[in-house]
Amino acid sequence: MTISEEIQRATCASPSGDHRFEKLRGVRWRINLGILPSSPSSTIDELRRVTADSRRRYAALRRRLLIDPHLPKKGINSPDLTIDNPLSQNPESTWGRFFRNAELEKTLDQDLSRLYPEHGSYFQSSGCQGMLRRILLLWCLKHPEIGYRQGMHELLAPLLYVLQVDVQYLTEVRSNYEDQFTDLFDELAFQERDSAAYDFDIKKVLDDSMEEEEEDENGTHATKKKKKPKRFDELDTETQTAVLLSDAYGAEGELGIVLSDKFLEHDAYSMFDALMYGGSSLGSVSVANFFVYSAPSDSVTGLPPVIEASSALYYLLSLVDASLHSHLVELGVEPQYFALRWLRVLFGREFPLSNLLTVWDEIFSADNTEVVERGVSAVEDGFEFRILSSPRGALVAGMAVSMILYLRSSLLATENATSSLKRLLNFPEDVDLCKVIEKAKSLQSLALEINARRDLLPKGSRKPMRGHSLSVDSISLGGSASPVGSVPESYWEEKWRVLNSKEEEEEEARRRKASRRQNTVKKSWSERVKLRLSRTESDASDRSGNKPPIRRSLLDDLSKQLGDKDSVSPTNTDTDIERSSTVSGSPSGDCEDNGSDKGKSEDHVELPLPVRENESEGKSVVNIFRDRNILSGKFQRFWRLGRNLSGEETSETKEAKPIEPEAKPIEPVAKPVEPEAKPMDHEEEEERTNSDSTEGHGNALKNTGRSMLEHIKVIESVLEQSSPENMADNHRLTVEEALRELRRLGTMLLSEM
Amino acid sequence: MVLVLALGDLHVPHRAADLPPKFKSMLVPGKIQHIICTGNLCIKEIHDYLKTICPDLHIVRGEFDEDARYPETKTLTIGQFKLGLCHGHQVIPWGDLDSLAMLQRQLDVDILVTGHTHQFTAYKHEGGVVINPGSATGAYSSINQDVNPSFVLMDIDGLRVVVYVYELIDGEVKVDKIDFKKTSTSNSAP
Repeated sequence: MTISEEIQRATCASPSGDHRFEKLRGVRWRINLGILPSSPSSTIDELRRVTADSRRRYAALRRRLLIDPHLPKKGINSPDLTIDNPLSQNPESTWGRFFRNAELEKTLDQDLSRLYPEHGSYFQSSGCQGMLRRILLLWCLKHPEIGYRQGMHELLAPLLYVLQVDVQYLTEVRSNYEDQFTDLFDELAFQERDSAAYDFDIKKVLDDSMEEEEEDENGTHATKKKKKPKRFDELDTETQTAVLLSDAYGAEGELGIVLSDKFLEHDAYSMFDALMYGGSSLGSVSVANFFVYSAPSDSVTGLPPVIEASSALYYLLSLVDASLHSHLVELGVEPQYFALRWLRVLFGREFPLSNLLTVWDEIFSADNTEVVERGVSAVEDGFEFRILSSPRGALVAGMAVSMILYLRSSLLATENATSSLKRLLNFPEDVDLCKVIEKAKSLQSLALEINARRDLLPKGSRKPMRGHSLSVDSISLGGSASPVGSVPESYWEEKWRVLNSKEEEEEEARRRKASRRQNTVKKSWSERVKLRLSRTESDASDRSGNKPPIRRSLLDDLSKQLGDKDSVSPTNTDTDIERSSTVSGSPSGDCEDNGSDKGKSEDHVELPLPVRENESEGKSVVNIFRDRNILSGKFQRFWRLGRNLSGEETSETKEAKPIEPEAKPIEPVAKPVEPEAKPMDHEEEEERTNSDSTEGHGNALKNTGRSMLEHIKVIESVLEQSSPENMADNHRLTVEEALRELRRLGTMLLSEM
Repeated sequence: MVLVLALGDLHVPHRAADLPPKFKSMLVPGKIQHIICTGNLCIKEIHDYLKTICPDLHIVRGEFDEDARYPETKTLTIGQFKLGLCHGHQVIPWGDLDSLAMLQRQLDVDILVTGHTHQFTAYKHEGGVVINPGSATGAYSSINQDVNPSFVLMDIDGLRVVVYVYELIDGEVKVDKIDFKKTSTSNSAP
């Protein structure tokens, strides 16, 4: 990518409010990282002074730490040779330090030689490599507690590159506006400003191929080579800035030239230092923390910061896209497998250099101080995710999650952890970066909101369980803010939830079968459906964009129909499916019924019982939201399955297409019941359903009811054989098949209406 | 910034058992780039030991060496300097500067390293340097009654060579340093 294109991109992405340095990415970044004063009112002179100071510091550091053993130490005329000889074992000797530095340099060289081979013309040049080596060496010597870790060179390289781009921009400006750069020694120009002209529109010169033409100050497009001398004030502001920043006679003289070729190393060092140890407050992003192996002493979780941040990513993902999250968790993909690389190099390995600069533009423009609310710091209070408590950290997390979401379809298709990791670690090259960044920004605001509502964050072990205002918060957030504990817990909790729901259904079916009552005030299948529908309805209204409005109306339809069905249900005594028309309207009916059921049932399995007790004793409200979560999670997953299958069944259901959207709402309903179908049942049912279309209404119902009961019987038998935890693969397949069957049955029922 | 170790006349196992422990503790692998040895090791075990300190080992034949394949003289170039290596028993009178200078001219080297006398010497002579690292084990010598273990480390840096001399005197390691600069015709000492 040529420098001119690079400058163009620098212009396009200027998120911050300070528009003074639109073309100068290096200066912008230095402001954002806190090296240069960031208030818009700071003058060029102030910038120059601060720059000069930072450069002096670096020069002093270099003098101190870079050792040339040949140079005699100051003030010692005859150095004590027993200490200062090359073979000396004394660690204090200059030679000892020299050798230690040499070892460090060897490690650095291993990494540097492999840095950005695709841009090797710049990065592999000896000057650049020398600069990188020195900067990293000095930084590591200054921070011996961390030393050098692989990846730091990747953080440093784009910083140096950006500074180089600025300098090259400056040379272009210089070549075009030479009369502005005259040596104004003692206010006398060394040469007369001649009237020989320079092309006014610098942008046109810089990038011949650019499409968008920027207007000059007069509002006209520049044409070829206007011969017109320009005074300083008539230049556009950017060029003015460039001139002022590079004036050799401004404040601090040469040391203050903000865009200077000579001081690239110094500036890059200060940028690198600011990036690594950026934040003043606990919550801000300091990339150096990601390289630390042990947990900091004041950490709540006791995890190293990078692990903590990775789990923050997963938490955020679970809020936004629970199905993808649960899928990854099921495969056993721990977040730090990929997040380690993402976070340590700030996505340096995932994007090509040009995209990376845009991403870093966004990240750096986000404020790095911790969001403190009402004088209480989230981190001090003992909340788990430090990374989420600053806007920059939240944006980094949001960026990561949006990248995961970008790969959603391919991730959901993977079967094992290795292939998912492969997808995640080989991020595609041609990415629509704007979209990803947009998404990241929205996720950032979500993350910050979560942080603001402290009672939703997973807390450390110090504080007990979460709040009462859970339902309110979850609705207001518009997401399925699951009331989970710390993230590792939540994985298992979800699994437990899934199992639990299966157990629930299991027990229900059995109880139903055992009692054989028709019009009992008990949970019936349709009743359940209605309840769940009512819940999903309210859920749907809350979610932003997760369910289109049409589905809501379909859910309404379905519930209505089920209500009708209930009233028309045949009075056959041997229908095994209860079609009782009694409906308990309250959402907490679920738990109440559970409680009541307990007393009535006879042969129920021991395992669900203690579980149930916990549930009913505990928070019933929590239950509902858990169920809701199951639905939301499974919903998306099985929607696709349903799609596929309903495509297959066109022969049977003539109105497959219009019924399809109705089939979908049935799925979450179908899932909890979860009967099982063996192949022969499938066939049996097929012929039955075929006959359904010809037989009468009641018979059809009877038959479908019968087949459903058979499914239930089958599931019972399988579950008796093996516990749900270690269900074999073939069992799982049959479960899924049964699911499909039930869906079809539901479709059939609706088609009968 | 090349470190070159020069030593020789160890006479192990006939006249000495091993290098002094203090010397051994100083000679750690990784720091030294080349070793030049004047000969009389005499056995293969010492050869292997020197190889562990530095893989780049140059050896010439001394009269008591058991490996007959070593050459009589050797020349090599390190940095800007040409080094010549010979045991020294071939040049008579033993240790005579003028005769050694003849050998230096013959080999056309800047630095000539010889041994056999078991005595450290370093001469500047006619635009070149003649160095004798002495005996690293302090082995008995028939021509020299008072033998201290000694060896030489040369730090070659561009046109300048710094010679560090390590001697074991009364159980203590003493270090001395000599600077040589190479110019086209003559050399100057500090």
